[in-house]
Amino acid sequence: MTASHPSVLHGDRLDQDLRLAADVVIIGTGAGGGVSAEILASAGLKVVMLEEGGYYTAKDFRMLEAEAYTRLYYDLGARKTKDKAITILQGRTVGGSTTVNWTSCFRPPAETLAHWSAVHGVEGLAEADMAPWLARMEARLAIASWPARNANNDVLHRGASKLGWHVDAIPRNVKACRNLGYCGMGCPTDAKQSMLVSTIPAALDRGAILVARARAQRLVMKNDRVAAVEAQALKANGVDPTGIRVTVEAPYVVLAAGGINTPTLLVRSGAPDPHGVLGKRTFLHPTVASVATFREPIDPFAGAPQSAYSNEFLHRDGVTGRAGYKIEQAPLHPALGAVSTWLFGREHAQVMGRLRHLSPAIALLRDGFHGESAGGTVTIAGDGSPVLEYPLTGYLWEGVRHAWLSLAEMQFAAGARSVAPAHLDVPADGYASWASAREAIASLRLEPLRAQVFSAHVMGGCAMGEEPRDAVVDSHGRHHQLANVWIVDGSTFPTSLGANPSLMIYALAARQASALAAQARGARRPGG
Amino acid sequence: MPHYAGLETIGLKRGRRRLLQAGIAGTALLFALRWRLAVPATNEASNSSFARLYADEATALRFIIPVMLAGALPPDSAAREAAIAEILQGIDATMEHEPPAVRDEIHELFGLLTLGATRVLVAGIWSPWDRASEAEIHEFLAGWRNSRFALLRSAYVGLNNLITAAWYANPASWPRIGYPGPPRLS
Repeated sequence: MTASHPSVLHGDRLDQDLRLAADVVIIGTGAGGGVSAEILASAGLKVVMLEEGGYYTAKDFRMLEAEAYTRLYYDLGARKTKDKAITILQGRTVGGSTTVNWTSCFRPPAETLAHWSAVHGVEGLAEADMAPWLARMEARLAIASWPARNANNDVLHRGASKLGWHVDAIPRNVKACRNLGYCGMGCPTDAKQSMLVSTIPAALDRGAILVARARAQRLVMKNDRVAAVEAQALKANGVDPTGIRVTVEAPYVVLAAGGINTPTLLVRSGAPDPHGVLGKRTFLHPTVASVATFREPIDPFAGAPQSAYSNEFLHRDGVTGRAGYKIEQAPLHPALGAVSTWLFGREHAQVMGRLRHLSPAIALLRDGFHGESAGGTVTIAGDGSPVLEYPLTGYLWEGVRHAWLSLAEMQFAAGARSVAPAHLDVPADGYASWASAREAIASLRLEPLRAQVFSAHVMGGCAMGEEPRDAVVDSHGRHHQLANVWIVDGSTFPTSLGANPSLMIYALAARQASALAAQARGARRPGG
Repeated sequence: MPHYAGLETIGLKRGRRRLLQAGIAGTALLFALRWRLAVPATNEASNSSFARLYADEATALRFIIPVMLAGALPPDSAAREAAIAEILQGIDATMEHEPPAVRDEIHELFGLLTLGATRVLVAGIWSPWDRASEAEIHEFLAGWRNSRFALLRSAYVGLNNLITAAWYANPASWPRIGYPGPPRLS
């Protein structure tokens, strides 16, 4: 189902202000908003979805980086922290990051859920509580282990196996996947069960309305409620307002704009924040990379981007000890490879000339579990746009060095000819042996914009918890101060997750939206 | 606080004479850039064939691109000129899709290169771009890349990413690196 739907409106095509009324307005159509839309519309509620991104579908996904990054991502796939030290990949399109993610769907680590309960006052989200919600979303989105490893993921599997490390196959949300390798540019065959092809069309079929290219600008407060949501229609370039306004009035407001934009919208609207917790504790799974060169072709652009992972070091020092990390592979297409290679001139050309032989391994650090890992802070700039400050602390740097060592060891164990951690001081040809890599990595300078740090997972900023002093929403996603506002996205995580967060957001949104549906239907019943 | 132009702070923090000079220049630069951003740059835009890039920015980039991408551009001079023109179009398209705050930062970064004083003091390029040697431009890129100041390293990365993304997203760059392009869907 990719044909344009009559219930989809496009902000760039509106020629006059638009006012809509609904039972529920949902801001954002990614993992949280998409799942909520289907559940709320299926409960008989009238749903309006506001999405900042454009409505692109399979026919638009031509597997070209030049088109994909400008259309489907914030800041062309290079959203930055304030100091520019971390590059953030975040989707900005109908379906949010689920339209462009690499399809890895993990259950949340049990240790993380236990930590949320023990330390952050989260109730009802223990492993056993979440299991049925996770199972429900696994069934809904066809999530299953993917057996066909491409050469790039075989590097991880081979290296980790040789070293006796934990290694396993990654569950993916796909149906009849052709193993093309272009998940990050939107799935051209609708194999990926993103929100774009699953929950959003289901919600539209049940009477929901979607307004694409409409950026929620302000929540209009009335006492302890949000009376309306005001949005700006955006031009086809995805960023500049057309001047047309979209206003939605609804008794229930669901925020699902993600870990940067949900807190931004609340801050911009002057939402109550009596305890100063809004926009705090934003987590990124700071991610570092190590690029191996192999004699044989790896073709890192072909085949499912992620199919093998290792949790060997995820809890290397317990849940609250030194920073643990998850090991995965990253795909590499020409432009993505080019911007991740901070060389220039002939050295840059030489590395790019080896593209077919490159194999990038990544380590995603668990942030938020330790006193020296309090995460980042979202504030707004003069023009109301988000600013994320994220300090890379000594605690995280220790984890970074440890991770580079593990990645290099794994890559050499898999037979790499050379290995280059993504760091400015590493020679273009990398290191030729594990011994030389180990020695060099030990003295790499741990500084922002020397070490290359990425993120594809923005979490936190509107933490869950029963205690209003520590949290923006309760364990059901209900805002502690605003009576009709629910937050259902990854911004409610009190720490990072320790795994790619999409499945947890699907399951959490299913739980929260089901509770909201019950409440909203109860309220609508005469005398109810 | 603009990210690329806040040079006065590092200069004063370090207290070194050379940097202090750069710091003073940076402060002057800030005013110049602020003024420039506040006033629509009609003269640059009017003779520019781009939606977002100013003509003098494109001029500087025309000389930086062949050094950033040495060894990657076609050797044939006509093909090379065509590639550079397409890279400039690609950078312009990038800027068109960036949010206004990021566009402003990119103009600030380019401003360091187009304003004579900062071109000399911050980039170390003494002559106008059309007379700068490839060796000088190479030195400038290496200097920013290896700078002790995160600010200059971030400026280098910004320049690197704008240029290299525009080239490697272009199918003309693919034969050299053996990228077959996206698979055909039958």
